[in-house]
Amino acid sequence: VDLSVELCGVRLPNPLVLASGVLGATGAIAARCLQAGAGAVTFKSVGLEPRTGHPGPVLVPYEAGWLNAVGLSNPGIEAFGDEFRAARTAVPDGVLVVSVFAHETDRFEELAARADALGPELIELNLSCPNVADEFGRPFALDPAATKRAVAAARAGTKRPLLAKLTATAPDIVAVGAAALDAGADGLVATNTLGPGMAVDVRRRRPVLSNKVGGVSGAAIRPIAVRAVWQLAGLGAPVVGVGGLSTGEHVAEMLMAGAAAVQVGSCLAEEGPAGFGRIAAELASFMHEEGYGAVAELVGLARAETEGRPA
Amino acid sequence: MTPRQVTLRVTAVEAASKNARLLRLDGAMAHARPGQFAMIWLPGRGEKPFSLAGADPLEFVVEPVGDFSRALCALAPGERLTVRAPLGHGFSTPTGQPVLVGGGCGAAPLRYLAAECERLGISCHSILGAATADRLILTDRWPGASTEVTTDDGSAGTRGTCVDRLRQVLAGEPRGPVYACGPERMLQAVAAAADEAGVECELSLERYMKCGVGVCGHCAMDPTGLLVCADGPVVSGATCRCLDEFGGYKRDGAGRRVPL
Repeated sequence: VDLSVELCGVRLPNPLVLASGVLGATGAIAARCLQAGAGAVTFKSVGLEPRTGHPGPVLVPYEAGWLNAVGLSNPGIEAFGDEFRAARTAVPDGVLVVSVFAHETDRFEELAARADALGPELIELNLSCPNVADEFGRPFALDPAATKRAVAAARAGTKRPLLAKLTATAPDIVAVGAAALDAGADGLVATNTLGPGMAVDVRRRRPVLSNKVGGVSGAAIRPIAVRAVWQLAGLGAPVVGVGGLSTGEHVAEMLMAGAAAVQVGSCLAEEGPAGFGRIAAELASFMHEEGYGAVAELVGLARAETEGRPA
Repeated sequence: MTPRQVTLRVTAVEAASKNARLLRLDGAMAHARPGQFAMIWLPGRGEKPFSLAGADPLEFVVEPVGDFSRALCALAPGERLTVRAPLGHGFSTPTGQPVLVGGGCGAAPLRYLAAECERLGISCHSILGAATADRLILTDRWPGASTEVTTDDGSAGTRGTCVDRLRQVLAGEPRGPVYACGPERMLQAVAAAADEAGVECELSLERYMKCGVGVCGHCAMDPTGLLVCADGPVVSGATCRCLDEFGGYKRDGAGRRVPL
């Protein structure tokens, strides 16, 4: 079977993309994910200036995944260049996605331009980090107007394919997605971690995360992500589905809901980069069993079955 | 499955050296391995990795070097401590006639390993080195068949470094493998000495960790992307030889490369 897909004009050897914020903090580990079978890797979000992020604990498990509040730690776009080039050198034909974040709209233009200069295949705008509200205020992606301004600023800085990473925490994700596309985004990614949520340690009688709240990921959010993908796919632009998927059939589910590709994150905590090879093999096996020859055949199938009626 | 946080009580705080403290807790982790570590949480102060110095009961050796470690050393028996453990990959089950080489407070996980050797009836030799006598930890009650100490200034044991002594020991009767933990420059020299003697070695590495469970990628080393928290902290000498940044640089909290 042919696992390759096209995303905004870029060919990926398979639809599994490393989600931003997981593993991709350095060029070496990003390259390792590609070598382990990722179809593309998204680096951890980078801003104009270096950031240490939140003190620990930054991660806490719950029954169905994780809460995290790493706090956008990153070396800044200048030093990040070394990480990007290390991955490019290690895997010259690997598909690299640079994720950028900013807390002021006008910074997206410079960031996008500087990310563009590195030569990534795709640029992702992180408009939806749920664990920096104390410093940055509400994530852009909760609001169509704020999203439109941020995407328009980034669009002015690059001609490369631009993905807007959204959150299903938004009251109306379709309005936000439409605003992003209207401002020039080429594709949408849904969903970032949800919430934020909170975990309280009952022995210590206080929130575990130093930031108190953190983004909720893992199996629990998958059905919400599938719903968001379904809704966004109705807008007609490519959608990357992300949220709690950990098996080949979960990938097929996202594709059938309308995703052109998927991102993988939390499940790698248990098995590391090897998860890519396993999930890709499971997807191939599912496609073989069901008689599909290429991934593109799965995209939007569940929508066709129901004539694409809105969810 | 990733270990959850458990809250235990401190049962004893003993002097491990002039300044370092041995913390004993009222819990055991029978499934842990020497070389594995815990993320210790001090609410309001953060969460940091510490090697297990013992697992039954759970013990840590802490040198007061920053706010976090000073607060740990200031804990009193009866107070609570919250840990995620055991994390990472530890030392292999010891075989042969191991030589354990520890630098300063870095010797902590080797105490746990020496105790395991003793329990398994394996004859291990420990070489504990430090700059000065007051930096050596737990030398008066170190487990294992034989122990010697070195200090840079000769204030205790042999004057010189633990690696000088390792070379002499390996040049004598056949011994190995070598298990080591300490400052990275020392580990580099240990790896070279073991290599020259044709002996296997395992080294316990240290990098800035955030999640401790292989999710955030912050502790990945160049160029292989080895995750110190999940693939390590203990790695073989052969694995270490592939790590360009070993002995050269590390990354700070933001992920910027800084010289060791």
